[in-house]
Amino acid sequence: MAADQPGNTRDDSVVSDARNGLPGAFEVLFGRYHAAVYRQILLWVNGDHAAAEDVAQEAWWRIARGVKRFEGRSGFYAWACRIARNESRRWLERNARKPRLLPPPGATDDAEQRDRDYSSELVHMALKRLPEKFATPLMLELWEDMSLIEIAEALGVPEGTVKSRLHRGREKFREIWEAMHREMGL
Amino acid sequence: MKDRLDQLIINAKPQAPSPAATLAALRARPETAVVGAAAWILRAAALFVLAAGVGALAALLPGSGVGIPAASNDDSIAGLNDRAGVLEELARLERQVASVEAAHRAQLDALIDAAVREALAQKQLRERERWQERHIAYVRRRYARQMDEKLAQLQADGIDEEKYDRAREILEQHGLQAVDLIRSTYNRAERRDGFATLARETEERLQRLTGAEQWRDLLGAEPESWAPTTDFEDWTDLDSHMHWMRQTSRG
Repeated sequence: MAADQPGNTRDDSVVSDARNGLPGAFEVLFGRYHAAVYRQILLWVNGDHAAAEDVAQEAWWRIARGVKRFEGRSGFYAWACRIARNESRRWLERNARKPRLLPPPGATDDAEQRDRDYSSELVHMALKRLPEKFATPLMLELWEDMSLIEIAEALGVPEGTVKSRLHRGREKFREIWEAMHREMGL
Repeated sequence: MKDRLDQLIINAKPQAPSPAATLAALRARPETAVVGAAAWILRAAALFVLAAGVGALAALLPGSGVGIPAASNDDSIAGLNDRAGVLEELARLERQVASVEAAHRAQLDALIDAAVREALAQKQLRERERWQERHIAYVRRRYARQMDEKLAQLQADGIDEEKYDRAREILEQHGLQAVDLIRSTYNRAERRDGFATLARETEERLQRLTGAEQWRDLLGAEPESWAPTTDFEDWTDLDSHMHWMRQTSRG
């Protein structure tokens, strides 16, 4: 794992530095979790990248302002995600858009790319249907390439909990995936 | 080795934009500049208070005036003591300003937190009431239709008038109790198992009234549960909202 990937050093010390206003500490946390938070937001705003960028910017601004009051009762990532979720909800309330299943007509002429986009959207829908406590560890493991220890630290839960949530998350994802295919007659 | 579904999820990993762009946008936010400016204004004000305090003290202390030579060693020592006193007073003032600043900041933070908490609570309350009313309207519409269908079937089966009126009464009571239960569930006074109990009790009463066989033939299926499908843990569950949007739009 590269040096700028999540969880290489303990979050606690960097968070403590960020709370004390130590220059560069917040940037370390930002670098560590920016992509993971962005992908989480993208699911909440129904795959709209432009919206996800706006929401991510607003969320990180609030995280930066609030980090001094972060008490460490959960992991930093879990706390940052709660802020990002609230921002996503605000965005959804302002922009009551419906989930989009297929890319808009003419978005791409490449049939293979269209299939990949469609399949990705189905996966995102299934992940959205999963309870967050199962979806988040799965996304951290499979999208952010984080280890059990790193996920446990990011979420502020014991490793055993992460392990069981990953296991149950996979089972539930499979059930949801199969149910979705039955619903759609695929 | 990743299994097929793992690979499917990995393939669906969305691209994230460059962190540098977001960071630059964050740094360029005008609000950040305003916060910075406010901090500098506060600092300048504190320095002004300090300077004024030092000036006043210096004016009060003998031997601290510029250009007045020390008359003797004793005078020099007294002058040094005076200056040490000024420095101590300066440090005390600085501590005072810092403590006033901290208290002001804490008070402001507490006020903002309280205002945000209150606004969120109000918003959640409005949201909950909105969904509760929508849920009840949906149940009333569907239940009225179902009740009419059941009564029409009872009539077609040749039930006498007295039993028909009694069955209507039982079904109407069930509808009213279901609505009450929905209100209690939204207010956390009741859990969802109250709906199952109500459905069971109503079914038993109707069975006693019409005869078990007739009622079983009439129903032919499990009664519909009017309970919310999830516990609405924080009243903001998007999936729950979407579920009820779909349900209620079917009317």
